[in-house]
Amino acid sequence: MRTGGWTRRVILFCWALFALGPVYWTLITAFKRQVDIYDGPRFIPFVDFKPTLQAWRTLFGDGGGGFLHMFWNSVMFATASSALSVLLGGFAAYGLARYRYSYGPMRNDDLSFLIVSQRIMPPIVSVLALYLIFINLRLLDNAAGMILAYTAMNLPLAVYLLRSFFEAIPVELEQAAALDGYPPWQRLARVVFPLAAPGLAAAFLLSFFFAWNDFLFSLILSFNKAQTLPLYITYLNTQSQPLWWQISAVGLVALIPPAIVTVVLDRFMARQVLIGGIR
Amino acid sequence: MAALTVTALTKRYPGGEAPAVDDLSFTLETGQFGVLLGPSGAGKTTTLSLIAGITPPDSGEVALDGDPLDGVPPEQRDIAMVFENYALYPHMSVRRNIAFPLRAPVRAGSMSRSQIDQRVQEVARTLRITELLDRLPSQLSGGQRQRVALGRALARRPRLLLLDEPITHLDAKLRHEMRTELKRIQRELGVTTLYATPDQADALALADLVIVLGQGRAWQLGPPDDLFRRPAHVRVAQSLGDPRMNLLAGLLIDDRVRVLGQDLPVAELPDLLPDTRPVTRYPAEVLAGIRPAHVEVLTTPQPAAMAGRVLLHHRLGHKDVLHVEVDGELVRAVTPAGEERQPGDPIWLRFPAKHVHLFDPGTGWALRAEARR
Repeated sequence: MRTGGWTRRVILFCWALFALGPVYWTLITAFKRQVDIYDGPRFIPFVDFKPTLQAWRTLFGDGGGGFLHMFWNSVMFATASSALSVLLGGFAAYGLARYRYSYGPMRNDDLSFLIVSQRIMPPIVSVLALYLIFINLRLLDNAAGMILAYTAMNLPLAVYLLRSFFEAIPVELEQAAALDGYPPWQRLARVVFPLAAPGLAAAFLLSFFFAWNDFLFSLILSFNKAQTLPLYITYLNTQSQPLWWQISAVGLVALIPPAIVTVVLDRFMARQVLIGGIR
Repeated sequence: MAALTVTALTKRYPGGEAPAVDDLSFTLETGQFGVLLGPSGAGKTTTLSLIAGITPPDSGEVALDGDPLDGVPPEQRDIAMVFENYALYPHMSVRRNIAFPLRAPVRAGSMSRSQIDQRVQEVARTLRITELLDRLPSQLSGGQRQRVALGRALARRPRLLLLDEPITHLDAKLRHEMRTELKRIQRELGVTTLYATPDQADALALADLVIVLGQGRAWQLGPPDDLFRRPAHVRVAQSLGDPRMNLLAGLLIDDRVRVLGQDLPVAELPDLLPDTRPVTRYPAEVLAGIRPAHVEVLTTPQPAAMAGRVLLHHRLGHKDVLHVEVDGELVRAVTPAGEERQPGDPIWLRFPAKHVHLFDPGTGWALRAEARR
């Protein structure tokens, strides 16, 4: 077992190098001067180059342009649209899991598929349609519009993911809560949603990442007020020369919110293991 | 006082051919232990969920302590239920599971936090699960889960307790223990109880009132002893008693019944329920039922005894069951333990007329035979 343990450690170490390498490179680049970036590879701060805060001063100082504004936009759009997706998706999924619907020839499975099918076509197709709709609804370059667009893209996944989570919760638990004296909303709040927490957390994470990483929607549906962080990075790239030190600094900042969300929600996802054997 | 009154309750599920519950009526007095006895698919769980209000009935009425419950949602009925799969909340400790109904919005403010703690302790003591209070349901054995489910149901002293096959899934030894426990707890708390089970031993051991359910209908209801001695229907006769009652083809001629060549005088047949239907046409083909325990087993030929052959000797420990072939028919008979018999041994059986029940072979209802000349 000892050798097995060592092989595992070596493999994990190599994987960590591979995964963290780019992050490390971004990190040191954010503290380099222009000359240190273009003048051959330099790996270790204080040894082969002298770190500088130049990039950070520009970013948070006067030269940052709309950095803070776009950062705030990204945080707000991703958080609000994920929360909406989980909330609306949660109720839709609960309905699909617990009630029998019949709209013309459509049954629950058909409705489920119809909802998921919204995500089958490439986003570029729906974004063009959204653009035209948004012009008429005056939602272009508007925070509400962006949140709406991300929610529309995330809802299908949330519904699809959560339906199976709700179906796995025995209906007897809700009946038991009813007999124990809890009205319908309380049954959801005290029994159903806590048990679906791992699913809700997973749906929130996926939604958050989609909105946070999105470039296309922001590019087409916003042009000034409602722009997000990925657009800011491309501006840094399309000037006379790529401002690598600034791009790296923004990249590092852009890692922080998803990391926080992941760490916070991981606790809920882990609950599944603790609860186990629902039936 | 009537605690639970069920009147003409009927429920048909969409797509179901026959109603799941069909015109069911019965009454349970305060503090009584009622047992719904029937095989799976008889409508037991449906009946319980109709009473609990989980499923709305198509027609009929449920009343608790005289108050009709139509339109009252389950959370306001003050009925507790133990589900077949226990339905413990997996994300709550045993303590929180038991306290859950006490903290319900419908009872908001009726108990203080310390009163709730005290009640949980009390219930845990009664059910002997005090040491399990801080565990999660996933860390409990089947028997322990069953106790916790019972504790959760009893903690708030409900007006009515419904139990859906609570001990069916326990192993035999535990089942026996829990049966005794259930009776003790129910007596101690005096809670009116309705218990659904496919196991006739539960019914005989626990019930004040047995309702024999089949295809959604009540075939007979009454005290277990009464149902055992005077079954109104062949289903009732077959569902109570272990081993099952023997059913044999008989012919009713004038003043006697002929079963397997033995003639039994009609005048000696057992006492029947007052509303038992009389036989209208003579001679009549009937089903003659006799419990294995009432079959006389003889080792030597005797007057009026039928000769047979041992097919199987089945030991139960405290008694033995013989499967005997008589004239091409199989007859089960209970004999004292310890008598050595081999398959193929000759044996003689005699049916005492006072233990022979007659049933209509078509409808299954019990028949009253009158001596005719």
